[in-house]
Amino acid sequence: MIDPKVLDCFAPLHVQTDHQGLITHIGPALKRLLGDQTVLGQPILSLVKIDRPHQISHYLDLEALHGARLHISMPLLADFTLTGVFAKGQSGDVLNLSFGPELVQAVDQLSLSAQDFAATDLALELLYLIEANSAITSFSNALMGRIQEARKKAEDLAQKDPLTGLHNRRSFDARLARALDNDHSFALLHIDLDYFKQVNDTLGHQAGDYVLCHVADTLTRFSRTDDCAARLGGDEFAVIYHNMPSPEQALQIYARILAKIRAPLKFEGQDCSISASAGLIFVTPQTDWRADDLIAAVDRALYAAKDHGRSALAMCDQGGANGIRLYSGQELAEFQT
Amino acid sequence: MHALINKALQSYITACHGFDVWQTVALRARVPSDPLDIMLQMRPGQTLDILQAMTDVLGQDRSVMLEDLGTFLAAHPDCENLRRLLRFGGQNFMDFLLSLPDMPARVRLAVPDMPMPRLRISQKPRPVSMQAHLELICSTCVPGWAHVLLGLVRAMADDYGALALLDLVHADHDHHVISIKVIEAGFATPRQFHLRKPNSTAQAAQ
Repeated sequence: MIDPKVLDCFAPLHVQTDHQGLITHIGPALKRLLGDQTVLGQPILSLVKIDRPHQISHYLDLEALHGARLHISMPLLADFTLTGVFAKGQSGDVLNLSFGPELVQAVDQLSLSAQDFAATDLALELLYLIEANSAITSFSNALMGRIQEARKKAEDLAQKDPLTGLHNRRSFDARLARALDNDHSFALLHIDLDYFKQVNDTLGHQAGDYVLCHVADTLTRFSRTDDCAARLGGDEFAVIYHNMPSPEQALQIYARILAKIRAPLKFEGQDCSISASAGLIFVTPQTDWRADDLIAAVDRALYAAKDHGRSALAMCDQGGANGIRLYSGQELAEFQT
Repeated sequence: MHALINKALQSYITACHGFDVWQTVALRARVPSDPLDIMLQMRPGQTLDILQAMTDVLGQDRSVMLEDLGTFLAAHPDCENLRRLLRFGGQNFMDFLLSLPDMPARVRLAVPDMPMPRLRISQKPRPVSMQAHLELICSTCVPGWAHVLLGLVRAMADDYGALALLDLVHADHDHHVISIKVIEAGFATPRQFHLRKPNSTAQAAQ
């Protein structure tokens, strides 16, 4: 038999057997892992199960695998899998074990410490490397997050109106084009404020900005996250309502928006109430609009509403004919449910 | 110099002197004050500019600050990752000291382009009053490394629960010698160290 002290030092996870395959000695780390379970004198094949290169039921078959890389599971260690190598010697045989790719799991599950490894074992360097790597990865993940954030901010800047936070004209155009490509019906609302110029001229820009933000808030509140509420410039707004089931539903929504916009509003104690005129168009997948024509049509409707008096809305006929249906502010109020 | 070194300086000043002080230093050294941007932007001489700005703002000797940085890297809770990596060096303080010459190679395992000094350790004859007397020789040195090492090894002695006296006994341009007198290796209870981080089990299970 090989001097156990020598092998204990080089291979803390080894098993020595006699030529019949009965265990004569186990290394100190294995001993610690097995705890009270005594295996001395037992057949080695009751301690380890050879899974690869092929399963083995007789000790003679194990001897034939001298020097080969073995994949082993250990019934006494909750079927933990290990890598092993078996060597047949003159005075006895030795099976040496290592954790192989399961090293990290082994350290966790079997609570291994540095003493369980031979001084020359690279396992500790590997654990060190894994830990160093994860520290560096968390650094670069933080950096990636930062870059992502910066990109998002830049995108927002390019797409948002700085005063109101609504989409800007460029973003609106892109989304309208996308809505036209999509196979669903949507409503396009175009709004121009009434009395805004008076507020701006008499109470100043700050009051004007306050009013614009109030309108933007209202539009946002009455739209879903997928919808696109935009400030096209000055006191001109537009909203794309996706998947709108019917023109009546769009009218109902606008009636509620208008009620909010017309509600009395004060800025620093001064009245800055306003109203709005609107053009509305309902677009179904069957109609074949070009974005320019659509905008021109809803623009025409808006001006028809303006001509009709304050607080009115003009709805283009479905299908894009020139027909326009006008609703006064009073008529619109009836749509509120 | 490596961006990670600038990052270490930023972390140190922020943790030990406050973010305001770091902002002053960053402004003076013309480097970004953002803790992550400092990793992204690199120009030659940045590290020396930061060190100079630290000297100006904190009014301390450069060697004192670098020693303090070494202590910070090994002992501050923000640097627990680093402390753990250092503890992989050895199971006890003597093992750790004898593994110090491997440190540059270990660092390069994780960060291949990190400039590191060449380290040698030699055992000296010891009087009966101490358990060991060693000299750590730090050569072909990036300036200042020896001071960082001094603070770092001193903090690691605490970590291992060892009572040791450390001094820089020789310093010239590219050759520094740190004397390490180990009075008692098992002086106090060492801080805990397991091969796997306590909270890494959950991550491994995912």
